[in-house]
Amino acid sequence: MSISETQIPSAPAAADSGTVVAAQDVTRRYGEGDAAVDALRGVTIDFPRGQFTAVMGPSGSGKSTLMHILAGLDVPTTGSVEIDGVEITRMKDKQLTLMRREKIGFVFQSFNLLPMLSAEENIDLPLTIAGRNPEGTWKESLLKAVGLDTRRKHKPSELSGGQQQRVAIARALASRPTVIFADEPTGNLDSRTSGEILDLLRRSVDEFGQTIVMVTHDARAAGVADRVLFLQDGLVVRDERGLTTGAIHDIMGTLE
Amino acid sequence: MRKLITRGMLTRKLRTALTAIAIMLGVAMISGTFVLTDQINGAFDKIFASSFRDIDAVVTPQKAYESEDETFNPTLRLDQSLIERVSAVEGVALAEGAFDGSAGIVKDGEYLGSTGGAPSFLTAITSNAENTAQITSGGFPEESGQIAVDKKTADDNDIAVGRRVQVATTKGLADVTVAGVFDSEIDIGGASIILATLPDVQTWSDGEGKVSYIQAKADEGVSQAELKSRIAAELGDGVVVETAQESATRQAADINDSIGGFLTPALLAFAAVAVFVGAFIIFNTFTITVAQRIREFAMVRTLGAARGQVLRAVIGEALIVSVAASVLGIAAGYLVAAGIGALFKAVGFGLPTADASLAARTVIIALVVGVGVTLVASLAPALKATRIAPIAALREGATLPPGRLSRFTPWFALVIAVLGALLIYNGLAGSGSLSNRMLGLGVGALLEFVAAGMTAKYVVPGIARVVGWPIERVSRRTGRLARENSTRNPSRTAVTAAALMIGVGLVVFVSVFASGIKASFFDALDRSVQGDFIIEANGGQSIPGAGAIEAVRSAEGVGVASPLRFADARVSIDGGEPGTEYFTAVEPDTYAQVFRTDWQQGGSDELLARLGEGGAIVEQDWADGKGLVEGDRFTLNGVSGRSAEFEVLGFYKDEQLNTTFVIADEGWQRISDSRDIGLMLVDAASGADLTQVEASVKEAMKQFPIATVKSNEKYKEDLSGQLDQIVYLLYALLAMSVIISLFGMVNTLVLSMFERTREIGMMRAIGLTRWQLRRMVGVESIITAVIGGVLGLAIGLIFGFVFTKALEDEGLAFAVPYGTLFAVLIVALIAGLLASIFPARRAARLRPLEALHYE
Ligand SMILES: Nc1ncnc2c1ncn2[C@@H]1O[C@H](COP(=O)(O)OP(=O)(O)O)[C@@H](O)[C@H]1O
Ligand SMILES: [Mg+2]
Repeated sequence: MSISETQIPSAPAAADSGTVVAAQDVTRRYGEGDAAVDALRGVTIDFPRGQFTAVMGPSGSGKSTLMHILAGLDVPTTGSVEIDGVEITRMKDKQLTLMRREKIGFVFQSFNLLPMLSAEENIDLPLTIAGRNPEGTWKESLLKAVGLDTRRKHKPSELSGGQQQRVAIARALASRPTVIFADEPTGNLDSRTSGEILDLLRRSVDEFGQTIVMVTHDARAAGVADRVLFLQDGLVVRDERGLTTGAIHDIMGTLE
Repeated sequence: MRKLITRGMLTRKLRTALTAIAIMLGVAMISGTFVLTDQINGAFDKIFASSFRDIDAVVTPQKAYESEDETFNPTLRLDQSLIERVSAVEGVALAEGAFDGSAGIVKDGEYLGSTGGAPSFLTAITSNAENTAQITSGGFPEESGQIAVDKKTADDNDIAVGRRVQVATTKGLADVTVAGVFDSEIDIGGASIILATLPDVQTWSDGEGKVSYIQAKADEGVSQAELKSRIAAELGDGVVVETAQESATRQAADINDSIGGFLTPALLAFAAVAVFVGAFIIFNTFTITVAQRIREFAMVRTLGAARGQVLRAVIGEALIVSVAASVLGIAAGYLVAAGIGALFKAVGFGLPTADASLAARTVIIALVVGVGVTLVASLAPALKATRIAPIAALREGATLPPGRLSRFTPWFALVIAVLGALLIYNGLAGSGSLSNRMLGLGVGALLEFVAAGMTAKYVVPGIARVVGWPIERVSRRTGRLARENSTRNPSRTAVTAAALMIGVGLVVFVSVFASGIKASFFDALDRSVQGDFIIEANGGQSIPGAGAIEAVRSAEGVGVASPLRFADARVSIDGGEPGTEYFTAVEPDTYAQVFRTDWQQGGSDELLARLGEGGAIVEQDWADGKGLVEGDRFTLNGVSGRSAEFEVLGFYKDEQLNTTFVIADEGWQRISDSRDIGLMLVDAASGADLTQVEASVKEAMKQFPIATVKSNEKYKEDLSGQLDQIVYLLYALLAMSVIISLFGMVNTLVLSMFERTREIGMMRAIGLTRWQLRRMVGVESIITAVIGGVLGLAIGLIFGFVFTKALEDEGLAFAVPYGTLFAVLIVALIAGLLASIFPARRAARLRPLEALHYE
């Protein structure tokens, strides 16, 4: 009756070639009647494997809502979301939880580490929850990659904000998820530390082939991404690749 | 500021409610104790008031002193001829004799004596019988051979008017017809009542020509006081004449003093424990919430609130909660009173109760204790709140500054522990009045609990690791997280567990004590009793005298039957202040054959043979205490007023029966006419088949169903069963404390979950299922509960050890009740699981997304 044995149907082989997350006509309405707010008003979007996508847009444009729906933390009012070719919008809580466990990693703005666990134990957490044993070599290379192999026994309270966020990134990478969602991962950090964190995310994509979707309103952060989506009033208004920080800044200026 | 208080409470409704419950339950115990004892007092007031309604004066025998235990003492009676003399007094309209004895009913050969310690009354019918008994069917007995039975006994045993039954009396069985069934005005508890005509009651009670008291009615125009003085003048010395009013008040007060003097403080002690446990929970809850409100308090401080205002905000909240909870608790006291009453009834100690009422004293005490304890318990957290600096408002995750004195905590705990130990030592071995020493003992024990609670945080991680180990084997994923959660705030876990520790500790103590009593008493019984059977009366009554002895002796296969009589009497040594002492009267030749005396100073059974009319052998410890040596003399004053002098012939050690000296039957007869027997020890003739002898003795005793024949084993078994009943009663009374600590555990968990909302959201997001979350909370709760259980076991064993060692002189041995200890741990485990259900469900119901964004 172990939970971890209940496997999510594995992705069709074809997924390898391209899309890992796909949203189709997704809308999300909060509230009812006159007070209703349409946070998303019909978003159709694909995320290919191994791509680093930034989601930008003015405050209230629906970035977080979109991310939550893509990650199976929220359910669209209409439309569908597929992860690894599997439709998730009609899954029950338990199935969704297991799906997130297997396929999704998270990096939060406020780190969200468990204070009573060491850095290493925090990194192991998703595997612990899944009842899997951490793979020694993978964890070692992770610890090295995030530059924490000398601080593995430290508790979060003994680490700086940047170090905590690096632990959080390693935690997200630990289970080798299909996709990592990061919501303003540099929002609580100073600019120098932010740079380090963005660099780390970039390297995860380049070195480990990790797919990342990052919500941010910082043009510099979006600058490290392969692709930038711009949202306005619940719609994707631009979908650009290879933008410079300056260009992103300019586009944002036109949206606000 | 007032807004801050009420807003704070409303936004934390659940926590406020759980705290209130902890206060309420403790207060309910206090209020319930008073309500119940008032009910009992009220019942006896009513019983005596109504039985003397229409009566103006009462004549009773003059007692030499107030016996402490009348069970085995001869009952004093008046000569019937006095009735004539009272009748003849000018102004007496009517004088009649009343007779109170005891008897049970035998229906179809089966004895229906009332259960346990509740009495079976036999009362002679008088002209005012309808004052206390309303006939529901049939009528009052009018001639010899008729009885009336109380409705409860009749209903329970299916006895209807016209039924032929027997009454089991001192003289044996008598055939009677049930003439009527009556309802008693008051709930008489577990007792049964038989009414019969005066001559029948006299005969059955071995009291021909005697009455228990005489009641008189006055002529029109003669006052009670006037009647009293006229009768007193006529009868002179040797009797007590009272107005009916005086007599009713005195008798009710006598009973109420003897019941209330014991019951009220005993129940209040349990209430005190419950309140004490509540105090731990209040302290913990307020400490946690102050910690959770750091930013809020800091914020109002930046807005200009003074420290005093913050203090008032916290204390104000405590005040409001405690007043509301105390009021609810006072009301819930009615339920507690009913519950405890039912509990007593269930174990056979049923007491009569009148309608429940709320005395002003109950309300005042309950309010003062409920509010007072809450305020005291919330003071430390409130003071802590005042030390939050305004700057904390700006800091994420600010924690409370450690108390200025917190590094001295271990020293404080040590001082408290030593103080408690001194009080306990004084209670066990010191001087002062017994009640003061008992109070000191109780306070000392509570201080030890406080000290344990204060230092528990140091052992929490260690115990958690041990307790968590097997759980982590079974449930690796959540077990580890649960253990870490339970130890991340050791003092919080410690105080939560300490609340449970108190109840568990006392349960274990009671259990250790009881098993010590059993072990030592049974051991001594095995050593001293040489016979094969023990005959004892049911429900603390006495075995009818001469007839029963003869019956047993003539039964086939009986070798020796020896009667033991127990009584108390006033003993004076060298004309000193007399004291009441228990003693045994024996038949020396048979006694020597069935009982092995633990002789001291070179004594032997030969001394028994020399007892005669004026010899006594005395218990060594008592003799030492009184400075008695061989050849000394002391005077014995019986209840009847007769006295006799005895000479100390030798010494023995008695660790169990607690009698201070032994005299021979010849000596006994110098101070008493009673032939009733306390116990009979029976030895089968050598070579006889024990089963056959038992059967024949039982057959012989059939006409005295008030007594039961038991093998030594069965006797021990029954005794142990009775002791167990008392132990279970104590467990039940301690259960309230355990239940209160359960609410404390729920409260701590709910508050902790509250704090960890975002963590929970994160874990759910990265794949923790609802079920895993619930299991994690459950394990955390179990760990906390088992820590409480383990601490309770330790402290209970230590208390038990200290107390039994202190009473070693009384023959008490230390014995560990392994079964109970194991059961206690299982109960703690289940308690932990129960406490987690609600908080775990709440946590599992959180939506990950909302939890993640919870501020
Ligand atoms: N739980 C909610 N209830 C009601 N409205 C919400 C809720 N969450 C978001 N919204 C609204 O939906 C819109 C999009 O919000 P969000 O996705 O958080 O935007 P962004 O992350 O781009 O700032 C906003 O107008 C916001 O007020
Ligand atoms: Mg947002």
